[in-house]
Amino acid sequence: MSGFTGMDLILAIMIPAIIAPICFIAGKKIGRVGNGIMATIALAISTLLLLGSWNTILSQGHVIENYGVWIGLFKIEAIFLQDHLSFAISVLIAGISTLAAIYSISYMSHEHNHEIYFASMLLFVSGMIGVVLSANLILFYVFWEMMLIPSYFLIAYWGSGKPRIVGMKYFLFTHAGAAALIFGILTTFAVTGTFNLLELPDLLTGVAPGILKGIMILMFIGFAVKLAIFPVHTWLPDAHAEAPTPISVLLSGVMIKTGAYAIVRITLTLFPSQIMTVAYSLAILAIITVFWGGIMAFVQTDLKRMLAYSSISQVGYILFGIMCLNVIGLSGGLFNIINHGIAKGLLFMCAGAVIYATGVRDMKQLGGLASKMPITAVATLCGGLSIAGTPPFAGFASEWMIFAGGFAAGYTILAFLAVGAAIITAAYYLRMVKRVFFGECPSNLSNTKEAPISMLIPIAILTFFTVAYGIFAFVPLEIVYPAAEAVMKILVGA
Amino acid sequence: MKMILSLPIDLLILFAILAPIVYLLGVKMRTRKIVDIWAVVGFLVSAIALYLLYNEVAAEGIITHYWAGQQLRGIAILQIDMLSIFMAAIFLLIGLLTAIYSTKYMERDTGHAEYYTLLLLMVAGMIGVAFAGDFFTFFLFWEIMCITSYVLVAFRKEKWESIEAGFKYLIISSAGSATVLFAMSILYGMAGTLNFAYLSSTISNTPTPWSILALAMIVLGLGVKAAIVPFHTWLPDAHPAAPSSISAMLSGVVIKTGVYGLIRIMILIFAPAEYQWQLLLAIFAIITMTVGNVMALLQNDIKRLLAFSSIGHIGYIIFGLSIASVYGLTGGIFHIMNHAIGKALLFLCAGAFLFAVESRNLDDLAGIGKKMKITGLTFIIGSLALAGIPPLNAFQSEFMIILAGIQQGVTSGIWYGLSAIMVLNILFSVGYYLRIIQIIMLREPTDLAKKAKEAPAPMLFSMIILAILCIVIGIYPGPFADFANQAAEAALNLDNYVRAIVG
Repeated sequence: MSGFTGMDLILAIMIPAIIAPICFIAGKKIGRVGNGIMATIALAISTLLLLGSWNTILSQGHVIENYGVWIGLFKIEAIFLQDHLSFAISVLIAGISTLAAIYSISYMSHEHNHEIYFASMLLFVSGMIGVVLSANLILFYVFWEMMLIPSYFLIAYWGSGKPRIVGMKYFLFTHAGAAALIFGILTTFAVTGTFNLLELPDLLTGVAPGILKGIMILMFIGFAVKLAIFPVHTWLPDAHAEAPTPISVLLSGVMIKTGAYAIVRITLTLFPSQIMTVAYSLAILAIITVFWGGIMAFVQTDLKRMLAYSSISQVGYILFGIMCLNVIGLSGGLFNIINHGIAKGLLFMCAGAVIYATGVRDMKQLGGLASKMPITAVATLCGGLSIAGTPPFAGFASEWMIFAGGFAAGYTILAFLAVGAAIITAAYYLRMVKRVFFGECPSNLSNTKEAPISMLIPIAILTFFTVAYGIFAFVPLEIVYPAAEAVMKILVGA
Repeated sequence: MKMILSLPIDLLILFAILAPIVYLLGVKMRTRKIVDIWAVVGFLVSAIALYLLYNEVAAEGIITHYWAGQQLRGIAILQIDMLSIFMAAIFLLIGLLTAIYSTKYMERDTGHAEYYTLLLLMVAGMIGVAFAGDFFTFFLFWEIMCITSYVLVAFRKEKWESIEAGFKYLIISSAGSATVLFAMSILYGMAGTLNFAYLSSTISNTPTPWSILALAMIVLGLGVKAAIVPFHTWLPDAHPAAPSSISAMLSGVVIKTGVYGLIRIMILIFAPAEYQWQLLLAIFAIITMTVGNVMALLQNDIKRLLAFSSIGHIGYIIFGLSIASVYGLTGGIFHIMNHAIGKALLFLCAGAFLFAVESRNLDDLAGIGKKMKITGLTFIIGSLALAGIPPLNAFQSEFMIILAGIQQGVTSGIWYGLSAIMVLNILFSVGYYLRIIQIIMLREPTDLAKKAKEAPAPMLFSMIILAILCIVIGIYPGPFADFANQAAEAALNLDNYVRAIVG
């Protein structure tokens, strides 16, 4: 018994991709709202299908759907895998995307060409879900690049500032990372003769360590660009700040997490003995990323740019957690993927609500909005405190686990530094809340009204989860802890 | 009843010869369009004949046919295997779509009778090259193809640019043909035959200075047609100067006949195991792709940019050939198809822009995609496909080529480096594809572009078919890759090819 239909996984990927051209063709007739509702329904169905595989995962550990040969010449099979690890990330992606689609309906009302917008968004999400579910490296790569094209157009067409240049930068950076990735993938095939992720761990043990290390580095470069690890992070602040807000939600909330997912799924499980030799250096890199992102966020005055830099800081934490290479650090890293996805999605939505209501994104020109936009203000505070790691919000639990993992792994100095960086995080979020929502309200903003209800619903849902996952942290941990244990079993075995 | 094996060629030649008469009839009947339809029908009928031929080849593996009627020491023979069918199928597909496109695109030109005669003859020549089983037949059809293409490049003879480009093309390409002829005469002197199979059995295992000289001359001569750097200089002039439908033919398929000749002759007659040409050819390939891509980045004329990008892609294909393994050759042959589809699509789109606003300058064309939505969309698909972005078609073949290169690297390290350069080239090429997409689609329309109207239906039809092919091959490459694989196996299976003649 697997899920609802027995084809849950492929349907979860395909439904958004199939609805996308329908959205595009019917777009002019059904208008912005119709388009948005169609996209929301498609993504909601995807989410439900993904949730549907939970029972099977509990009983059997994983769901595998094999659709036979896709490219016969290389014996490439269309094969999808859902286990604890991919379940956590794929549900996060589909869920946040559904909320972002609802949010887009009002937010994009001033914009043009909604039919292309929603179609691109659906393709984008389809690519992300595909990346997480693929159990075949070529399929993985195809979806990896499938995220790129629609997101490029979303940034370059509806972005603010200089969207063409920002879009180009985003595209070239990620594509360069992908070039390193494909070289690694193809070398893997050249030495093993398969792309199948389920067969590779056994086959790779016989390969010379030098080649394995080369492949691992190539692949890691690809993932690191997506995850925006220092020093290949420079595309992120531009892209995430200038994209239309619902897309920023997707980029910062979930897309960069596919990089973290890939590091766990591919780098850690395929090259366990190689990763152990470089784990400490990567942990140092992670801490540098944490500080770089944090300090840069501190000096920003642009609302969205600050959030973008904060994302860099947070992916540093995630990478640090993963590189602890113990169960608690790893599950903390995975937990933080979820928490940061929710909280950063929430914060971008709040920032979008403020921009929508006031038309201003410079924090210096904002102030005193708490009385005018009470719901947004509370939500922003919750999101900010969660990312800063304040109890009882979700971020507290995950960051605490990451720090504990760091100490357990013996990275004492690094772990102290990581704790210290949390203070910077708290400082810039509190300052942001103070600047935007408290103090004197500029006279030109005195007529500001709360954002429309369709934007507040996703904000409310995400706020609920930041609080709920903090108090009932065992719920998500039940998913990520077994995932971390499974990965650790491979690492310890090597 | 046994079918006539040269039927696809015969039909095209027949339709070509009758085209002027049909045109005259059309003029009499005051329906000039009739010759356009005649040409489309010609391609369709020929495609059906090719399909029948495909069935025979699929059943028998290899078939031979003495087209002159009698056996003359293996001369005047057509020898058709899966590789020939594969190439002919691409030629006919692009030819057919070009003909459909031309019914509208050439409306403002005169001389339709000559145009369609030349187009049909050119495709007949290309199919003949792919079917040829000896050097005599090869050269005969080769020259039919070359001469018709010279005239087609200079078809708009009222423009100085076309005349100049056509003349340059004529001089350089004839020099290439003459070199091939010289190589043929050397081979004849050594072996006393022009038949590929006999040549293979006498020359392929024993390199001598003369045969190496012949090899060098053949690479040079066919390399001119295939636009391998440094023999490429005619291409960036000739391809933009021709009418766009002809540019699509030239860049999409005509240069591929040179590649086909290289694949067939180098594998068959100059066995890679004995002649060791792989690394040298790979270096040529790397230089070709790098020069093509770098030059494309600098262009401001959309068709010239596309022409340089063709040189880059020829580099990828030759790199696949130079690996000379099954995967490498499959990737190369598969890329012939994917590039033909993608580049024909882009040239047809460029033609549609040209048709709408009479300018090839990218500054004038800025934002035109906003006015011509369908053309713009197909243009995006074609550009992304050729940029090697999955899930579109060229990615599938490019990854095969790189994979083959890396596999070669496991035994000899230098191929890792060469494959890495190819990856960098693909990455680099994304830069200019993205640039043209941004200019065409995302910029604010210029005054000129604002007046543009969507292209007429026959032109859109061809572009949409090609765009759909880009997506379909990208998402479900299985059958197409298998077809290319059969072609590559056929090219590498020397025994079968030789035994069919030598016995």
